[in-house]
Amino acid sequence: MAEQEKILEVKKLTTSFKTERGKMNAVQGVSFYVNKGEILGVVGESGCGKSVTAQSILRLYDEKYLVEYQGEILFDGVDLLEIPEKEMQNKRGKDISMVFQDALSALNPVFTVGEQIMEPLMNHQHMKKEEARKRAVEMLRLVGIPAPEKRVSQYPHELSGGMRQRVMIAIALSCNPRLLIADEPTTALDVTIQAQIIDLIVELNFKMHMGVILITHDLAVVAETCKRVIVMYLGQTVEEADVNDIFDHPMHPYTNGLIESIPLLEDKGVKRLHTISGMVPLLNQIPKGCRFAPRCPYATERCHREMPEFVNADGRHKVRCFYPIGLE
Amino acid sequence: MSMEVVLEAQNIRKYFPVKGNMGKVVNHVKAVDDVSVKLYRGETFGLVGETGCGKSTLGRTLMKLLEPTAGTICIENKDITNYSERKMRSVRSYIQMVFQDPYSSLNPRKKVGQILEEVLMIQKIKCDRQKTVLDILEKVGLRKEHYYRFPHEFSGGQRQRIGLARALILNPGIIVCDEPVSALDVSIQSQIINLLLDLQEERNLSYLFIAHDMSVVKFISDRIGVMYLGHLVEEAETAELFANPLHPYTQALLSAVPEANPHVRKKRIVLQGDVPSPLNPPSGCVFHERCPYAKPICSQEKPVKKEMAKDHTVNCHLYEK
Amino acid sequence: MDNISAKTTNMQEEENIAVLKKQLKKEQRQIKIHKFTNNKLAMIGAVITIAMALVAILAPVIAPAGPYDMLVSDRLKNPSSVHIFGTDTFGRDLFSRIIYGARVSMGVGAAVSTISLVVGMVIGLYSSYYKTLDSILMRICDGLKAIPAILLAIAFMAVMGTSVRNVIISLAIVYIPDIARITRSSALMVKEQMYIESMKALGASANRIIWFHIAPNVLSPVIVQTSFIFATAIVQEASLSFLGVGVPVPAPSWGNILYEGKTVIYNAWWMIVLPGLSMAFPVLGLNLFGDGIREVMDPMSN
Repeated sequence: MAEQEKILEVKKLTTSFKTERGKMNAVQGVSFYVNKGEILGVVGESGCGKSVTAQSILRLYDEKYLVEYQGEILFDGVDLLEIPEKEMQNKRGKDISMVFQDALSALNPVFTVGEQIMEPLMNHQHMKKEEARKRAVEMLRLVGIPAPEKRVSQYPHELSGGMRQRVMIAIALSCNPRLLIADEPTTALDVTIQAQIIDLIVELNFKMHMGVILITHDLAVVAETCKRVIVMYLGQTVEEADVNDIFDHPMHPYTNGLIESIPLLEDKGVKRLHTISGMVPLLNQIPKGCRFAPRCPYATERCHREMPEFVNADGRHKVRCFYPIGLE
Repeated sequence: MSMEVVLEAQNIRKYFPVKGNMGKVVNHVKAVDDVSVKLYRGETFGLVGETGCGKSTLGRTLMKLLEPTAGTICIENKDITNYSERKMRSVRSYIQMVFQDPYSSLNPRKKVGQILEEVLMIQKIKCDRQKTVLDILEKVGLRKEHYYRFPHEFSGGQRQRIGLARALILNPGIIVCDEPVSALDVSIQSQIINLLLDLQEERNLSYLFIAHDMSVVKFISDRIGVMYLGHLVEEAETAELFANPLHPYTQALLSAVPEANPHVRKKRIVLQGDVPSPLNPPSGCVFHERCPYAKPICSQEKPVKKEMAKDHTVNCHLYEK
Repeated sequence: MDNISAKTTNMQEEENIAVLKKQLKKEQRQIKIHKFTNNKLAMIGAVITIAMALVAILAPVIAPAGPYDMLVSDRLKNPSSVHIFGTDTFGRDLFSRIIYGARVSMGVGAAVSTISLVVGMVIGLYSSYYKTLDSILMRICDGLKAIPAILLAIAFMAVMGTSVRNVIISLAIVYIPDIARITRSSALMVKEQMYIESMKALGASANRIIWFHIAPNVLSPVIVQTSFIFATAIVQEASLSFLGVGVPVPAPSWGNILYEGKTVIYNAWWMIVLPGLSMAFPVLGLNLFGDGIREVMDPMSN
């Protein structure tokens, strides 16, 4: 395969929030990249910082006194953390766009679906109203909404949950962004609808050749869609590898535990599920050494003392662990 | 698993009236329409279906949290359909419920100890209440000092344990679990599922397990019922249902479940359109508008339940007995 | 394991728990108090309100003269060192009358807000729980709210005759629907919470659910509203007295003093300005206080 073009590169990103009890790092030293035309999965449980990472890329928490960014987010070689807010506004929705989990609250109830798709078009691409409307209908057809000419003048509450998520995707893609961030796009949906939305994202990724960051807690969704996967735990990346490698030979004990915890559809005859003991600590009670050490079945004294680096383990995995599974 | 029936419901209907502007009933939402289920002692019956299929309503109706519009409910061979609220109170300790949302199912202004002790108080159980509560906390994997904490001091998984403790404290025989793990993270979800299984083994509990996550339901259930638009369209033992789904809706549902295995590429059956409104369900078979195999008869006649294999029933015109 | 050691560890644990319990309670209370004392405006409000309450209670001690003591020679005197607020048309010491007036006004306010709190909550809670009751009670409340508050109060006074007791009753009737509605709308939201359904599933009776589970969760908006009603009731009492259908003369009420001052407005400014200002104080104080409570009680602002 030819040398791939990185459209986004995040280097040592740290996002911290100032709270009454001091500074809390929701994301700490996260580095990753997205290639053109690839779907990158970001997996983790609630509180692992996956959503904060996504919102940092778009700088959605741009309130100087509450949030602090460190590191670099390079998009086309430009550091998004350095440019002024005005320029950032131009990028949002045009170059990088986002699909949220809750499509009902992410859509404005007082505007029609069409108006909401037309807005970024008229803003960013300075389209005329007629032209934008045409494009809106086209976008609705692209995301598989039947009778788009009719739907374009309907309000969000007139559509079903799956339809709304499709509209969200239509809005996000209307300006042909080069990067789409999908934050739990299927979590609120039923299985059959989820399957449709996943298929749609994969299909559009293929058609429009943009990079996609798919954030989810659902490993099954990742297995079905992504090429490369990042696993996050407590604000850090703990493992990065191709999807097949992650599922076949997880190296980090957390990834392993996560994969083992899912009940599988194929019957293995097990009576009990694998569990990870304990629970995710709060951000103000982060352990000193490896963050997973208190819950890790293989933790040694060194794990409790030192923080492992995120390193290349065997040429296929990058992992943050002193004793990766399957590696002596 | 014995063949002793602990709960039997026949031809349950639950219609919610829709009122017009003068307070006149103009229509009904048919949330549950002619559903019969049986629950055996010590087994888990999984109830699956998508949002709005009536699975939660059915669960609540079986517990008489909602009055059934028609049908009969028997618990331990006693017909409780027409029990008054007062008479139900003694039955309540036998059939308990665990709720989906661990955040809103606990009163935020009461401490865990108060929440649990109140249950004993309501049922007028005479015992050392504090001791009983501390024992049950331990049983569900919480510590004694949690007795004095407020619900908001707990994580989602711990709250679900509290909810489970509240259901267990009265020593019930049946627990209706309404999506008990769908709000939880994967690693916590597996802890709760294991806990449910341990408790079932220890106390010979029967679970009615309502969920939309097929892999969880498959793992925990002995038998599974599939609901669509208020109807129970297929019912079978777990292995049989997954190996041999008969109803076209079940087939589509199973094909849509994503699998945590990147090497598996399933062929999906994509359903046309959306789930119709339960206000005006389609005539005949409620699924016929979206069914890839629909025949003329499907839009005219309601299919009846047919037993195609042992304990495997389906409501569909495609199958002839 | 031997029983004795198990028992002692159990006892120790129980002791530990008891200590922990106390600490937790203390901490939570401290956080709440801290939040309130940190809110400067709320503190000012609380201080004013408490001060006014003290003035009302200690009126006989503070007031230099009785409220009915007339000095005909000292009619309509300017404020001076002898009469710091001046005197009225009958030569009564205005300062003393205003102090005693605080008794009437604060008393009416307290009584009206308490009655409307209790009755309004009962109506609101039960109508949120029982649908048939709801349609009846809420239509009555709608009817009462359709008439302007002061007109309604005047109408009641006209029917019942003037007395302090009747002022309280008629104002309470006017404000009960406010509390009932706020209680009902919050209760309807709380009722949808799963923990209410879970109590039903455990076999709790309707009364138990209403009083032990719904009521504590609707209390904070209701108490805030009550403090505003306290303030409004003070103003309304004065308005009724000013119109001559409130507290009967010569009783010292701020409304009565204003009424008397109206006739001499051009040559005795103090008769209008001073009672007006003294009325503004508790109203302002109560409003600030109410806003403060709202912030403390709101669990979301944690």
